[in-house]
Formats: sequence, C-alpha cells, structure tokens
Amino acid sequence: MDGAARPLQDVPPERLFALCAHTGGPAPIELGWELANPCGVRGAVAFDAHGEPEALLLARPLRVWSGGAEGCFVHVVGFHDAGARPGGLGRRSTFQRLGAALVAFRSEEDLVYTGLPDEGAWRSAKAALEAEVVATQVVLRRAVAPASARPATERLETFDHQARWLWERCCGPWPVSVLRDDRYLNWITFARPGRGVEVHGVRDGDGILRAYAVVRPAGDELDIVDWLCPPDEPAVGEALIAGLEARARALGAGLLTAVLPPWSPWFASFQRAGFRVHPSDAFLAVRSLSRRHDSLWLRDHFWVQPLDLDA
Amino acid sequence: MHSRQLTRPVSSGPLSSARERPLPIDPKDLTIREYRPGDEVAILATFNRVFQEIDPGFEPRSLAEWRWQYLANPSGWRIWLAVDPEGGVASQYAGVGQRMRLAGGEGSFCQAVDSMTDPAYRRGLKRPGFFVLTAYPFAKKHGGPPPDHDTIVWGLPVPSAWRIGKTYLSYELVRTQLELAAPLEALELAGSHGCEVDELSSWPEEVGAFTAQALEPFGASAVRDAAQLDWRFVKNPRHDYVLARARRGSRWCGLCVYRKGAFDGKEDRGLLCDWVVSPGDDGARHALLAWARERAARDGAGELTLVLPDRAPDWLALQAAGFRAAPTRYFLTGRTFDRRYDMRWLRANWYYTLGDTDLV
Repeated sequence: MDGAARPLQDVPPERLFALCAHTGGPAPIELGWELANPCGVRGAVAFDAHGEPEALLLARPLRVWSGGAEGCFVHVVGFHDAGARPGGLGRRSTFQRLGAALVAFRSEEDLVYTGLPDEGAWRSAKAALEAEVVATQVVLRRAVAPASARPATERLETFDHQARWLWERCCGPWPVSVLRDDRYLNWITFARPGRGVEVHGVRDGDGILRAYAVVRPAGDELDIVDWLCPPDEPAVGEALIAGLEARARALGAGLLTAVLPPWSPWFASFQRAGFRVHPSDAFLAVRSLSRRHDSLWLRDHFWVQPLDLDA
Repeated sequence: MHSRQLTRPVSSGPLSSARERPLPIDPKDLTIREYRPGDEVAILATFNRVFQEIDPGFEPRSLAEWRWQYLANPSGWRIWLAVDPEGGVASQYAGVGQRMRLAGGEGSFCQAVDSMTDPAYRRGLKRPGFFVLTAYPFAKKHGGPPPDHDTIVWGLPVPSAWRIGKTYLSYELVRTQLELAAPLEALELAGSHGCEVDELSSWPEEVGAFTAQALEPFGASAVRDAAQLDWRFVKNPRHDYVLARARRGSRWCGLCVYRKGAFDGKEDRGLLCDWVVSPGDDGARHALLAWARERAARDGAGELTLVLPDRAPDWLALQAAGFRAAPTRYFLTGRTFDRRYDMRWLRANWYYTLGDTDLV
C-alpha cells in the first residue's frame, strides 16, 4: 500500500470487482448486494504505487435506534488483500492502515464498529481497529420435539410495513438495536444472493404479524439467526418455536439453536422452554467511537442477533 | 482490578469519590515500593476510608482479616504501594497469589484485588495515575512465564478499573460471566450410585491428589491442596463455610464447599463456593447436590448458586439437574504475560469456581 487509501464509495464498482476476483473477495453479485445496502456503504480501499487497488476493508452500516435517535453501527465484514504486506518492526500492516482509514472516512452518524471475528481476524482487528471484546457468546440449543399439534406459523416471502410495527412493539426495553423495517429485512434476507435463510412468522386473526424468526439450516441444526417477538407475549413465542420445530423436522434437523443476549427476558424463557446454554467460540468485538456506547454499556444494552453480525 | 463484592453496583469504582480533600502532600514526594511489614495499618486505613465512601454497606476490614488474605495465603501475596514520607498509603495495586496447574506443569496466577487510590491523590495529576504507576512495578516483578512468575493476572473489575486497565495495563476480557442457579424445588436428582457425602472440619492431605486428578483435563486450575483449601475456607476470619466430601468407601469422588450468603446483589442464596467432581461421575454430582439441597433448606436459602466456566462438563450436567444460566454483573478479565496463554486459551482451558475469587 504505497498510495493513499480511498473510501469504498469513491472507487468504481468494476475496479472493486476486479480486486475481489484477484484477492478471493466476494463475488460480483455479493459485492453488488453490499453496495445496494439501503443504509449506504462503508469501506476503505488501498492502492499500490501504480494506482491500482490492492486491498479492501469491507464494512456494512446498519441503522440503529439508540437513546431516541437514529445512528449507525458499522459491521466489519472482511479484509481482502493482494499485496499481503504484513506489519512489524514499527511498520503498520495494510490491514492496520485500512483500519485507520475506515475510521477516518467515517460518517458523522457512525457510532460503533462491530465484528464477530475468528481468532485470526481477531488478532488483526485488535491491531487495526483497536477493537475490544464486549461479550463472549453462548448458544441456546434444544433437541427438536416430536410432532405435536399443527403449527400456527406461516413462511414469509417478503417483509412489509408490519415488520417495523413489530419491531417498535419490541424495542422499547432495548437501549440500542438495529432498526428492523421492511427495507433492512428484505435486503438482509430475501435480497441476499444465495441467501440460505427462511423466514417464519406468526399472524393473528386480523393478519397482523405478531412475531417472526429468520432461520438458517446448518447440518443437523436449524439456527435462529433473528428472533423478534414481544417478551410479554409468551404464547406467541411458543407458537413460533413450535412452527420452527415443525420446519426443523421437515428438514431433518434434530436441533434448534438461538443466540440471545443474556439480559433479555427471552434468555430465561428459552431455557424454560427446554433450551440449554452451551458454550461457543464466538465473541462480539467492537471499536466504539461514542463515549456512551462503550463496551460495558453495549454488553448489557445491545439487542443484537446473528443476522446483524453476518453469523 | 478490584473484585471486592460491593454491597451494590457502583458506576464508578474505588478509584473515584465525590468528596474532594486538599492534597495532603505533594505527589512528587510519594514513593512507589513493595509492601514492607508494618504497612498493613496504613493500607487498611486508606482501604477502609476509600471503600466506605463508595459503598454504604461496606464493613471495615480488620487487621486479622487483612493478614489472613495476604500474609497467610500459602500461594503468597503481591502488594505495591505509593507511600508518603509519613508512611501513609496513597495508592495500592495488590493481588492474591494462586499456585496453578498449568499445561501439565506448575505455574502461578494472581487475582488482582483491593486496588485503590486515595481520591485526594487523583487531583491535579497527569495520567496515568497512581493506580497505574503502582501496577507497572507489580507487573515487572511478578508477571512472566511459568513456573516462577504470574503468567496471568486476572480479576473481576469494577467499570473504572476496567477502563483504566485496558488502556494502560493490557487488560482483556476472558468471559462474560454467567451464573448457574436452581430453586431447591427445581432440582431433579438421580441416584448417587453408592456415593456418600460427609462433612469435614478441615481438609485431609489426600484432597490435593484428588483435585489434581479430577481437574487434570483442564489446562489451568488452581492448586487445591489441604493447605490452600484450609486457608481459603477453614481459616477465613469473615465467613464460615461447610465442607463436604463425596466418596465411595475411602475413594474420593467429589468435594463441595457451601455457605449461605449474598452474591451479585441477591441475599440468602445457597452458594456452592467450591465444586470439584470426578469427570463423568454423575453419582457424585447428584450426591453432593442432594447434600447441598438439604443444607440450603435447613438454612432457609431458596436456591443453590454457583459459578463455573461454561466449558466445564458440569456446566451442562448441572443444567440437566435443574440449574439455569443467568447473567451477572461480573466479567472476568485477564492480562497475560505469556503469549501461549491468551484469553482464548483461558476460555477453553481454565477451571475456576467462586472460591477462586474473593466474592464469597
């Protein structure tokens, strides 16, 4: 990285596609989907001495609601490097330089960078973004029960304005959460190339969406990657779980899993419903640009789901 | 890292106080040095004053208690102080030593506790403050690779200590600490398979061999020999504990230490302060739980509570017996002095219980 870094949005898509093809980054269709994010784009691109792109730090802004106002959390998606220039002996790596550039290019509304790194990415993220671990994750898991009554759920093929109604009914106790409306949800689920997820919901007699879950089949598991149900409506939650179990049985999955913040009432509710808490290797890492949203505060106040973290 | 169990959560820790006093002495005249015999009177005076100001439920610590916690610990003490010319203590960075079994060999960890700075010495000073300045020589002397140094300095810090520690002292998060709790009526116990439980007044010598064997699958665990366990649970001047051994004939298969008390802001809990069961011995686990349930019922405690790493096999086995996981205000942090033993390694390999901490 001999030239200056530039914001992702300043680089023509075809040059990004070529860079990604060269570095094993996302395919054009995937990168195109990132660039179509209704919340905008974030990222930094490094250039070599000849003015050719040589590395990309790709990030994904997510609109959040916090303290009565909208802002952005920026999820760091991946780093793709053709130059492979490591740091050391006082020299910053390309990742470190792009991390600094990403922060320098931030929008005024960007509050926090998030990531769910594996161990290799974590070492780099710690150095490049001055990231810190907020919380270690545990997974709620239970065996799929035998078939019972006919489930009262339906499979959704799109989200409409009711998604936001539902989120607004849920988000009151959440000091910060990704704003769930049809634009975000349709983009992150149905519009995603090779999406691999399904959405199941519960409606009442008037056709109002009372709860939904985004699930991803993964081997013997059906993973709940997004759960939205008012905690004071346990019967709706039970109906949704019953529907997901039926779907798991149809897919031949023996286990149902969820990742929920331990401070959420759903963490205890799922245990009452037979889920058990298992360890995992995952941890949420952040770099906060906001004094209010520091790591301790986020640990106890951020309603976050695997869907928000690309997990 | 101050893991004192404050009687209620505080947003700012023992490093701060609303009350400001005039600086009693020029900070340049303070000397940073290791503890010397006799310092404990001045340490306690500052300690009791600092913690009384931030914690209304604080009960002053006695000299006997201080000497027990530090000088009598078979694993040793670590204490660095900022001292004024009259011998007064302005700041302390201290730790309780832990002899460890580490990666199959001997090692040492240290739990940082009771760190403090007299609020009067926080005014007009450039960062870093005395908390950090006392921590630097502490780390230099004690931190390092096994077997002769503290490979990990760990703790359960209050927010202010965490913020300073991660900025200046390389503190990192090991784990968001959950607890396991079970109302007595929710326990679902199976047979003990011939395992019996008896209460002890002190720990016999063979406890060391048993715990070494039972905890062998873990890469890191504190040495639980008779000297260490007697110090922690029998000679403790503040709390009375009940010691239990599970055995088949003369063969040990588990141990449990119980007392009724407060944890994480909830009173009257049946605390399982230490918990070691031979791997896979369901009978021993159920026998000890049956014993603890009866103890707790007699005490009027409504539930049993313990803390374990979520990687321990008993984490899931206890959930099968009726325990449920719940969040606590605590988060386990560490600073490594050997890259082989980073936070990820600790998450996967370290066995600890409430008795490893100074919370119960």
